[in-house]
Amino acid sequence: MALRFSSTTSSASCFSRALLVFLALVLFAAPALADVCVWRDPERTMQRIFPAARDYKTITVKFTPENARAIEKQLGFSIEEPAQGGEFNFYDIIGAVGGKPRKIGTVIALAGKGEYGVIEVVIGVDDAGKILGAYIQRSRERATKALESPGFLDQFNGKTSASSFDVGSAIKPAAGAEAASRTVAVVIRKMLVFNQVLNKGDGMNV
Amino acid sequence: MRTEVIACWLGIAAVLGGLTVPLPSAYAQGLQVSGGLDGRLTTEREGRETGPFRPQLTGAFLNLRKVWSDEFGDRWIGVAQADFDDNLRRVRPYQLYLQYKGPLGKWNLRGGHYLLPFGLLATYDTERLVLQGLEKRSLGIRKDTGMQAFGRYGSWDYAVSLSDGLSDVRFADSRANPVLTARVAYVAGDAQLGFSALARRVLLDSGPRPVDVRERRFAVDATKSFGPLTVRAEGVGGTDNGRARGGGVFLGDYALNPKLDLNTRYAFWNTHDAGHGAGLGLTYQIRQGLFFRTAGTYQSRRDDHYGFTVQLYYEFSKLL
Repeated sequence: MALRFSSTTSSASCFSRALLVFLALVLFAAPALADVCVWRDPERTMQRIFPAARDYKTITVKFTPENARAIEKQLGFSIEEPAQGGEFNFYDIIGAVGGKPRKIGTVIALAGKGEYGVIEVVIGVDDAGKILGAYIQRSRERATKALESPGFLDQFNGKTSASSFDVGSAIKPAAGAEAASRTVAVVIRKMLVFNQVLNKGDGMNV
Repeated sequence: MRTEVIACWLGIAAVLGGLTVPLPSAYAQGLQVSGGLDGRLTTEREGRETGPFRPQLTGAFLNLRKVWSDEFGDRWIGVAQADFDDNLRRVRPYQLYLQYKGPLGKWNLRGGHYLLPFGLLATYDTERLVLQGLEKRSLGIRKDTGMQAFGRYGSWDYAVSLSDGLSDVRFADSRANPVLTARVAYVAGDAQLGFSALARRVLLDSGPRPVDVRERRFAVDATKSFGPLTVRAEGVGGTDNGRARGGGVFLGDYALNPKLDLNTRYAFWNTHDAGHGAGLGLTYQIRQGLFFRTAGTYQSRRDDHYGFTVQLYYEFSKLL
């Protein structure tokens, strides 16, 4: 069921052409990974944070030098997201009021570097940017159970981008996972700042 | 054969066309363009045992994805992916479908060319990995053209597919023999337990004359993470014209550090031939989107065979 472009093309020339394509793309293409963290299994987890959710709408916003600078100024450190993908996804959660659709919050997903790979974190925020719920979407850390425990994650409920996320004082680290707890705290703070700076209703589909 | 190529370009045109012709009362989002390159230095041979080391661009793919929303949320999803294999000498549609997402994704309808919802394949596509799943041996088919309904109910995921069975037949006869595939899975966090069934008729060309085979397959699959360790397993049983068939595969990935994974595989099968095989490999993430993989494999069929593969895999994604 396969089509050969040319039956006379030799394997060597085909490989040479393929190798050139490979090298050109790997060397010159920007490592543009749009979904630094994809929100997996969204419908099931969405209702955990927003029980009144009817559906969700993906909002994709591009990083610009201006908003990247604004984010870095608020965070106090540089971010790598613009270099990685140049865009970021928010998921507007839509409920129904009087049968009419209305945005009731936003879900944000982002990954941070753990000791055994990325830790993917998801939060739900209300329209004021306050956290309604947080959960670990994926973690390969040894102390994943502690990271996923309500005792650790519920500490983030009610926080905004202006809150303190200092692990040790404002946030009690998950047992046996202090480094991973710091990663989670930084990732959650970044998402709140991203939401404040980027998610102004001017996404690609609105 | 030409229909595959035409299907590739029609699908790509359809998704691209959505940029300018949005569906009624819908908000069209940008076009997500992603792709990948799969270069290998390997002793493995398609359809044969092993040979000397040979460099090849095993595959390159281009994937277009577009979402249209209505006032309540994402509603239509169009995907068109073309794969260019064997040093760019072959082209085939990989996934090519239009999907309607019901409220909260409790039900979805998908029409087109898609991966079949059977066993581990339903949630874990190993097409571009060195250590792969069992479906090429246990089913002989991975994707097909048809209609699929899928979604979730409480803690259960479900999927039912009816497809034409022409995608991977060895002889493109004029009959469209339907393939019925179904899977239910219990999902609890990062763990899931799935039960699948597949029934189809297929012409096999393994002997001097094509044989009309009635294939029945059942599978149990499981996925679970234990910290740095992720295990996936699938057991398959069934019949070909009443003759018992079976097999199983175990895939284990262990994160040694943030960039390095240890990969393992063990599989056994008794389908059109019988044997077992094992593989041990490493995956190293060089940078975002660029992976180095290597694996040694052992396969016992009529004889013992040892293979070795080095892979450089690159993927990218960009919103236009």
